[in-house]
Amino acid sequence: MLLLFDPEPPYLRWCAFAEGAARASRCLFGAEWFRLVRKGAGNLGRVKAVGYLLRHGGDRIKEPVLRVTPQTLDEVEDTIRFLPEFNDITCKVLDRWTKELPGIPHFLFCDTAFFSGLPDVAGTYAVPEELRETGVRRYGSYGLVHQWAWEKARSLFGGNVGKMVSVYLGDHTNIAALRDGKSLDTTIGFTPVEGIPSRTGCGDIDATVVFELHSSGVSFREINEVLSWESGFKALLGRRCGYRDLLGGPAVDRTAARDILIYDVVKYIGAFTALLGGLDTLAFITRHPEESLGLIREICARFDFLGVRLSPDGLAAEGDAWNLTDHGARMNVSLFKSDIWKIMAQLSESMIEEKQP
Amino acid sequence: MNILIFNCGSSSLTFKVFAVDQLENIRVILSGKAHRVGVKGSKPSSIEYEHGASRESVETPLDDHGQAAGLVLDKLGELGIKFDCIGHRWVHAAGYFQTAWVDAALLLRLKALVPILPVHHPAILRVIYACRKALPKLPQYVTADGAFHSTIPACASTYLLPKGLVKKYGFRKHGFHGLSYRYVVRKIAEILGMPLPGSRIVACHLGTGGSSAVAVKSGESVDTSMGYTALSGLVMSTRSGDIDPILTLYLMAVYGYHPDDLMNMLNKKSGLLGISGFSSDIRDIIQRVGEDPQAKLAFDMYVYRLKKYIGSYVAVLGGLDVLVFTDDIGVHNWLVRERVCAGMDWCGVRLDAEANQRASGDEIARLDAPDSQVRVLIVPTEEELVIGWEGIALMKGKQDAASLRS
Repeated sequence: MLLLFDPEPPYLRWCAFAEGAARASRCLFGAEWFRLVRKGAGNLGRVKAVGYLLRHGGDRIKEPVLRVTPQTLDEVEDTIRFLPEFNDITCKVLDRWTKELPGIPHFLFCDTAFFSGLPDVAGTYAVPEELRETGVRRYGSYGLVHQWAWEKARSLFGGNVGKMVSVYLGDHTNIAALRDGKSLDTTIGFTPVEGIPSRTGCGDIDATVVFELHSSGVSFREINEVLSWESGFKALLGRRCGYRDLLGGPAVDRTAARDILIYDVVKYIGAFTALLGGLDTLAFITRHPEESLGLIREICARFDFLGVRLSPDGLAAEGDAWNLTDHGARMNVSLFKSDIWKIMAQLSESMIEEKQP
Repeated sequence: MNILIFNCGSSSLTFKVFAVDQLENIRVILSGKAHRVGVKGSKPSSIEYEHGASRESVETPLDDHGQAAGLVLDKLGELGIKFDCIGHRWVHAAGYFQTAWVDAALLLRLKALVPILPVHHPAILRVIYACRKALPKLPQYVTADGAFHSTIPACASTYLLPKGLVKKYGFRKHGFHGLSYRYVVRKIAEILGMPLPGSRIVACHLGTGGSSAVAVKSGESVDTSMGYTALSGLVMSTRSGDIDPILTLYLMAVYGYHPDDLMNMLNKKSGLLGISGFSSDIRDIIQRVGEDPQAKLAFDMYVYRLKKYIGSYVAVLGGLDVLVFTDDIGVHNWLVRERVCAGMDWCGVRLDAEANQRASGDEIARLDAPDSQVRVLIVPTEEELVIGWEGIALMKGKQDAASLRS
């Protein structure tokens, strides 16, 4: 059995992964978290490895998976300043479980690693060197999923992936431009707040907003709270503001939210097509493929002018990868059902198989 | 009818007198520009005038825009040039007006808009007051630069921030360079004989100070790169363009940067200057691209960001009919255009390399190759003329009202 953790402030998502299946659950990351996970995990003697997702690897952690060593905790602690709410959870969970189960391998999964090789034109902010030296650059996130999608696209299209735009649709929709398996650009910036609005994050806005709020007496902490946790689709929809809430029914606000999501996805696909100099493969990734199909059709309809044509068929029930391309259309379109637990489990297994250094 | 137009830059003041005949044909009687207004430096301030065949440049201290405007009015008096009204470019109207006569109520409104652009707006107000002082009876009006962007749909203009804050502060995408875009779009339709309904245009206003891009559908703005202020969007000469808002918090909270200093750095020391470390002028940077990696990065980022915006607007418009470049860098820098248009086959853009290099930049030119599906143009912009058009419409309204009363 594998024990896997994914921070989702104010919650900790975790799962007991055994025989290809994830038993996932979630608890509030409060005083009781460890007791709750321990109770839910069952017989700890069966755990052969523990994995932790780190949403932001900062400027030092650049490996998608690494074996936790005595230095790792310090390295993770050093990344907290980049994304405090998330990384603090990962740090504490890692600290607690490496102590609890010292005899087995522990793996750290870094979600920004895939983007650590972004070309400078995409990774650099146009600010003075003095500011860039503090570690200010585009880090992206959701790298594990995008890298996985590229592999899936390769097997689905027999290696002919070419210039690919990879669209993750979810509570935190984000997009990456890929070529030859390498990332060239992504919507998420220094933090996951930049890019497409998320469930509670504002997405792209004029940074002057921060200064204006501050000069009228709002503290840095409160501004962070507003932009990261009170904005995005929550600002429009209130509590029911997740990705799946956007997909259902015709309520006015929901339509407005859906319009914004579609608009921003279309914009970024266009931007990334321009930097790639064209597009061969458009890949959609989501945890909810069946429910997302309508949205994907709407997005793709906007790219009719590029030759994007979808097959009218629904999804075959089986599997986690579908080719949506219509007969004779020149642009590959695919849909993948992602499961972060499976991705982490696969990577863990391959790490376990590797010989210990 | 004659109209005097003032257009304030941050350290310059452009002015023009238009003569408008019965058929609303517009002719420039006099034009000029005050340079280095309020700038303390080694070079002296000056005002240049172009009047018929005569050109002159007068060196004179210029403490502020109001004083410069006063000197221009004196000069017009000396030359015996009369005018019926004065039009001003107003930068950021926050959606309150497109063009409006200046009266007591409007002045209050304008003053309330000062904090949004603390450099430009007070300068414009000084010019308005200088005109009132010299010619108290003469009607004045302001035309808002951003009004062209009032057609941007909610899905593109909304900042997804808490509704209370949006209401209180008016946070949303406003956009700028609207006068320039209005002019350029109207010119394109004229030159190409292209009906605007259904047309898809991307225009790039690339200035020596600010730069932006716009997506125009059926002649109306549907999205633009600048936002709540002129800070966001493209990499500019000294402005950063798009950045993660959280990185400002990181710099202030973790590294202790003072908000005023950081704001100043993002507006005045970033962009091309921030990356290259030595110049905000793209011509200087291009010269050193070969030997200086930072210069190369600055140039590459400038092009890259613009290219991304063009791509995003092509997607928003569902294809492209016309790509147009305007303002100083847009019309004069062939290398920027060449690099931006490279690899844009996917949306039908093919540049005629020779025509592109040959274009003088002083007049409208077609730069697309014969097999290009998209027409590529340079159009030197003419913001004052748009203010003039607005003035003609206003004056007409006034005359109509007068004739109704009589």
